[in-house]
Amino acid sequence: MEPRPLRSSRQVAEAVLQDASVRERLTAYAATRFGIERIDAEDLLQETAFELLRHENQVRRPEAFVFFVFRTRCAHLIRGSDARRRAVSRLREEMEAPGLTEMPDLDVRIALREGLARLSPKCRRLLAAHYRDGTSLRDAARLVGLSRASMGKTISRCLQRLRRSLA
Amino acid sequence: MRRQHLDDLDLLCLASGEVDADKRQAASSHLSACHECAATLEELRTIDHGLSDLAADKNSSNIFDSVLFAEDDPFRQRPAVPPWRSRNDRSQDVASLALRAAEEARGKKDLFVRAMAEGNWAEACAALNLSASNRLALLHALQECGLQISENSQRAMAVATTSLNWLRRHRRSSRALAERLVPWDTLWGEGHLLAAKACLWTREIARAQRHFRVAYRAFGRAGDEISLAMVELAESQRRTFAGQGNTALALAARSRVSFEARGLDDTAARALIGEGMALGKALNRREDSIDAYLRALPVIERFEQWPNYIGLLNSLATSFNKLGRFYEARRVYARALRRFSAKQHRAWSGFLRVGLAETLFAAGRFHDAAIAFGRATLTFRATSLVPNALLSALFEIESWARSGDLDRARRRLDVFLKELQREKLDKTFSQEVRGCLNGKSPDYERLAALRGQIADLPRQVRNPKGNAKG
Repeated sequence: MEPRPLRSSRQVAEAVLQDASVRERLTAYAATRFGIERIDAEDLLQETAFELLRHENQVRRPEAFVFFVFRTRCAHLIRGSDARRRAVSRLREEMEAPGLTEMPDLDVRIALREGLARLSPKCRRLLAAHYRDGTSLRDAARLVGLSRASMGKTISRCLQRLRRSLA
Repeated sequence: MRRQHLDDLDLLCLASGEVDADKRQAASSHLSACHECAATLEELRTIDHGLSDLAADKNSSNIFDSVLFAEDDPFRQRPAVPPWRSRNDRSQDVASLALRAAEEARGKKDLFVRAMAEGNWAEACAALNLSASNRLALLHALQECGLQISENSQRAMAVATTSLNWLRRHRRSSRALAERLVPWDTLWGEGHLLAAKACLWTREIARAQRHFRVAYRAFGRAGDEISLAMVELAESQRRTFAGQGNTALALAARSRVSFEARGLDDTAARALIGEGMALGKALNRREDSIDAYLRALPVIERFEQWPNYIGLLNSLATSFNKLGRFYEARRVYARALRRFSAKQHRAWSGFLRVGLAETLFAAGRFHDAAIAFGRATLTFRATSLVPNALLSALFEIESWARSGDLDRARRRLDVFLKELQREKLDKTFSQEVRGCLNGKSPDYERLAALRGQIADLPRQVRNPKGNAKG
């Protein structure tokens, strides 16, 4: 069997916009994988083809590009509606169980993320050097320019804030 | 006497497992008696695990990276994609109109690019409206102009300024299909991105920053992830120049993830080069920068992106040299020169020979450097790259002089001065060069300054003859 010839971005965009079999395959994927209605999937397909046309000179593998962008757009659509559903359900749970004491992992991460945003730039750089780059705490402190004397105080202040955000 | 409490640093080191056995023993005996410290340790363990999770989670790594950015830094986080909203025009008519616009745009783009190259863009765009095909053609022409910025950054700035003025006048004339196909914000962002790149080329760092910020906001409004990543990559380069290595690295890495996910392999490799530059030039992590460059190299070769290839080899060789790995730097060029065909890639091989010669020069191998500069000079002459040929010839003369062969240096100088006459360059310049090599001890400092003057000659690296891809 001969290999299928590579198609240009323009040809792929044309197929996405007008080829019934290609559209059918992709809308069916959106329905089975994400539960997206056909009418919305058609919209997302058009947007995907337009994105390909805008970047046609940069895209080297147009078919892979279309699939990735379409899948991301589907996920984005679902995430939006899921987030709304989750917010409503969380609110309901909070009203029903006000005495919740255990903090699930996800909430710790959200709280820490918010806590990180409130830290001083020096504290943030220190934690990034330690947790992201794998430097030891004392080396991380030296890297951000903390003297031996101020190391303990700065780290303590930094941790106090994070502890407050978890409280 | 009651023993002092453990401080937060000790406790965090304990939670992270960063204490030796003796200290751990001492801490354990204190913790068994002190409930206050034990409770604090528990809290710090939660923080330690949480932060470790955030750093290890690939999807959250960007969020963790954002801690490196200042609160008011617009690049701290990529703007969220605007919420999706359903459209009412899904008909086949829209598809046909879009494809027709794309077809028309192809011819128009060539016209736009020609007008931009010939300096007629202001007149050409004055009569245009913001139809779908004009928008698409303009977008592609601006993208192309950005790719060729090394040829003429001043022209790129003029094109960007004219396009932005024109877009400002057409702010309100949005048509439904045209706006869907190419949003006004996308064009606005592309114009500012081009202007920013032009500023970066001329090292106007502060001005570039302003344009990058506007471009980032505009692409954010348009929800254009690829273009947002393009801005991040170029902004990363600006930050490397400005010595802001950590955020430069984070931005290049962030953009690479987007390119890789979309299968834009060559652009992802360029982002990897951006990471290498941030690591090597701004953070002085040379080993890591070499690793990034070596990962990018085969991709850049495969896509035959020769200008990027030359830049990449030069950066790689610089990193090797800084680490004292001179032979590896030399091997990089030798391998590339074997790969390049002298006929097909003649001009590019000139740049490679210069890179090799500079490596030899930096290592004090002046005799070998002189030979390599001589070969580069011949290659540049054959491809009409006059300023490059002159610069290389001047380097050759200096290399012969430094190697102790002053007779040869003076013979090469005579040829060089004849060439200067042919190019009708300033006579005082010729006299100064001659003056540097008079007597027994040449004035190398003055010679280096004169080299700088030659390098400032207008770049003529425009589509050199013998270049495979132009």
